[in-house]
Amino acid sequence: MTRLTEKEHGGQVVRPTLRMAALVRTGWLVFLTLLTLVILEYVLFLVLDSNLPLMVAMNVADAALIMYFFMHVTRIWRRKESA
Amino acid sequence: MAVVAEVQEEAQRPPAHEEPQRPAMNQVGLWLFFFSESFLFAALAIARFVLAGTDRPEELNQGLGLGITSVLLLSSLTAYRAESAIAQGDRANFTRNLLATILLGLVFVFGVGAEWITAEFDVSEPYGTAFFSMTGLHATHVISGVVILALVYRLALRGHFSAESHWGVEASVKYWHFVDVVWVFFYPILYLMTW
Repeated sequence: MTRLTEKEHGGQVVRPTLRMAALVRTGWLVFLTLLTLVILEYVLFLVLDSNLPLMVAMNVADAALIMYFFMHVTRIWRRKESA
Repeated sequence: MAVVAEVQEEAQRPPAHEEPQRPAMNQVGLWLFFFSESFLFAALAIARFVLAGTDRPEELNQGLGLGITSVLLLSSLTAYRAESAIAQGDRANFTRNLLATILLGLVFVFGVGAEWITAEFDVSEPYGTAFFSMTGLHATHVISGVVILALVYRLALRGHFSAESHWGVEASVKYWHFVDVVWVFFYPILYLMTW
């Protein structure tokens, strides 16, 4: 059932297994960063009496990471519509 | 004459790589939907501060809050992997990660349910009103996300979607990530923020 085809990326033909490995690595890095930020937020809650500004900044960072890497917000400007 | 005009028009058109980039309309529609939804969630978040400031009951289950947040973040990773896999034509990886996303979504919903059942504060209290409204509306979105992903999973098992054509997957996964973004704000607003 698995079907992998070679595709051009930046003028170079990239092997799909390598491309998939890079995507998976990016996914894990983003997830671990998000998890670290959430744990850090919990630690801030435990140690600081007033954490609201810091917490908002961290939430914005969380949202930006998800929107950029997972939601591919920049792809809104691509030429072709996918079917 | 019409053919000549067409040829002249074609000759005047810039090469494909020089064409100005235009937004894809399906993407724009989806992002506008997220934009409009975000106002609804923002209104609830503001209501939480108006009703109860940054106060919260001591008996709030912090461990459960952190746990379900981690589960939802993990589900975003599996959703991303599912979308990446189908974009590469890897159907086995796609369906496996899609199923994992659905299961993690259900775990999140059960976690919220457990929080509701064990909550020692009442809906009539200011914090309770904000808590049950915010988690309730968000959980409704998670449930609808699970249903959409389940439909995509069913279609995938029937052979739908490919590397070239998977907008249905992309849109449903983006919706899932949007629900995650909302929780990224709701979790600290309800559980952690102090002033």
